[in-house]
Amino acid sequence: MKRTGQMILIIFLISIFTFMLVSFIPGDPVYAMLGQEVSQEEYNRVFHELKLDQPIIHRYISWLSGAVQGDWGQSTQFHKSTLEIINERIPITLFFSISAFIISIPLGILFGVISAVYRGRPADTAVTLIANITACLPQFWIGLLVMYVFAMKLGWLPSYGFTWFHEDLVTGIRQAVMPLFCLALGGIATVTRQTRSSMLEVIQQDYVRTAKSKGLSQRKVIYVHALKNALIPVITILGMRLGSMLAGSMFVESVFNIPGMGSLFVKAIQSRDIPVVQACVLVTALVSCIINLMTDILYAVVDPRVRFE
Amino acid sequence: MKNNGRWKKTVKILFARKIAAFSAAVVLLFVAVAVFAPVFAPYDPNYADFASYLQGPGKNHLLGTDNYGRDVLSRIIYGTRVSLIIGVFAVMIACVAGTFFGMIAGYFGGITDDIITRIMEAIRAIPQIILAMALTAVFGSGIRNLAIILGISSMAGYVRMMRGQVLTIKQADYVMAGKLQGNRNFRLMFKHILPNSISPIIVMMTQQVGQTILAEAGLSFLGLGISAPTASWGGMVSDGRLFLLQNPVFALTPGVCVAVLVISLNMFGDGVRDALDPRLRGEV
Repeated sequence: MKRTGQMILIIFLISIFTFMLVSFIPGDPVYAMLGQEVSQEEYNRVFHELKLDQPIIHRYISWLSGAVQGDWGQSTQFHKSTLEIINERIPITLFFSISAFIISIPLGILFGVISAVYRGRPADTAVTLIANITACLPQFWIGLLVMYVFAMKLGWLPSYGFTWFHEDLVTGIRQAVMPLFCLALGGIATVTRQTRSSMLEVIQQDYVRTAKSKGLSQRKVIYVHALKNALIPVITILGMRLGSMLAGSMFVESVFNIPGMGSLFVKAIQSRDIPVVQACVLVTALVSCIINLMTDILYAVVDPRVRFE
Repeated sequence: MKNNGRWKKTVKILFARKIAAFSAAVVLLFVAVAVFAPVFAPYDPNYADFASYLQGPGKNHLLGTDNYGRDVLSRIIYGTRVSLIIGVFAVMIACVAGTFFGMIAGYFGGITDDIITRIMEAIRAIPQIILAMALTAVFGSGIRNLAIILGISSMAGYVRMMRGQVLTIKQADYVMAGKLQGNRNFRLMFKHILPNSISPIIVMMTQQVGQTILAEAGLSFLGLGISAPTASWGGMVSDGRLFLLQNPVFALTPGVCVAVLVISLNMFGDGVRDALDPRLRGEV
């Protein structure tokens, strides 16, 4: 309950921040949004629409009540309601982020366990090295590399675009393979590293030795006794991972020309389409707050010690 | 500083490890390239020779030319400057601001702490790159603005770390003794608490430079960072992706540079962490 209260407070603070984005723009926001060559009538209309003739508190309250009711203003570049645009775009971004997230967890845990169990042997060295390197590679660069190899040189996969699976399954899958690979790679690397280090810690604990001396098989000791406790710190990482999947989706969407929220956000920033920028920031923050809350709950479920504190 | 010996020992431990010494050498190489860019670069990075555009790697142009006929190698060399300047300055801004706010929050506690902590939690709730992007929408880009924006968007981590440090150190007897002597709050903070929490700050800084360089490359790739014609690694990848088939080296090598620099910085950071405090291993 306390966490929910804190989350509401945080979302409230973020809403103030996103609202303030307009006021932060140096110079006249109307000129900044529409350019210098704007007629006086147009200027007056937008000036009034942005409620710049009212005190800032009034503006915030009316903006917030609008935002809560789903009125996020008109996009200045698409001349459509912002909510409508976001509604079109966000399912695509969520599809990529969540799928990549789901792919990366089991793989990351698997690699992490392998490298912890074979600590110091070639398998561990290879896994750790690859995980460390992938964590440092720019996502957009991995995207271009696989695009160059698999789309341009080998011609196995289409190099851009997006199709929903229910419209055309084969094209959809072929188009989604490379973006998903790029997005999942970073997640796999992080989960692998975290699993490895917490696994190494757990393996040395007494109860693992007890389980081993009881004569349980190696497999059972690792997957039943050790892994359960080793996963607790991994869960914390997971919460942050989905947030960075959303962020990574900006790059992947840009590389593979996918019409998601990421590419919308970039376009909105370039054309200073502030209502859309505000909406994108707010939606992302909202999603990551909800994920953090879910992680906390999951944390309490997995680790009873948290509940009793 | 009185503990000169401790620093010497730390440096000694740091360079005794082969990986740390090697990564330090790579980082130094990049720094040297950035500082002496005019010496290393075979051509003017902005000189456009339209007669020889999009050439593959060859004798005249080691890494070929871009779509304006500019020498790719020279542009990469000058791009090193941009990456390192932004990386270092953003981290310094984040560190100074974050340490300051974290120290105040931890030291004074109460409502000050609540306000600062809540604001920082709100900042942390927005993924760093998205926060930075939103800020570029407002403030515009360019080297100086990018350093400030990336600094602001990554300072929450320092606040959190420093706050925790202060809360621990505040309990120590010497801080109490200093208080009883009648020292002022700020004197206590800067003379006693700050020097005692300097190691984790340094560790965090060395580990953040790489992340910041990665973020800058990302922003420039999206067209929200360094704008043309200034050479930046992210921007070059972005320009080059349209000509992947003609000259893949043009788009792909700047990315390799980002990766090599970031990997070396991270390994160096890990070395610093291990050298400063073995207990920190795996915790930061």
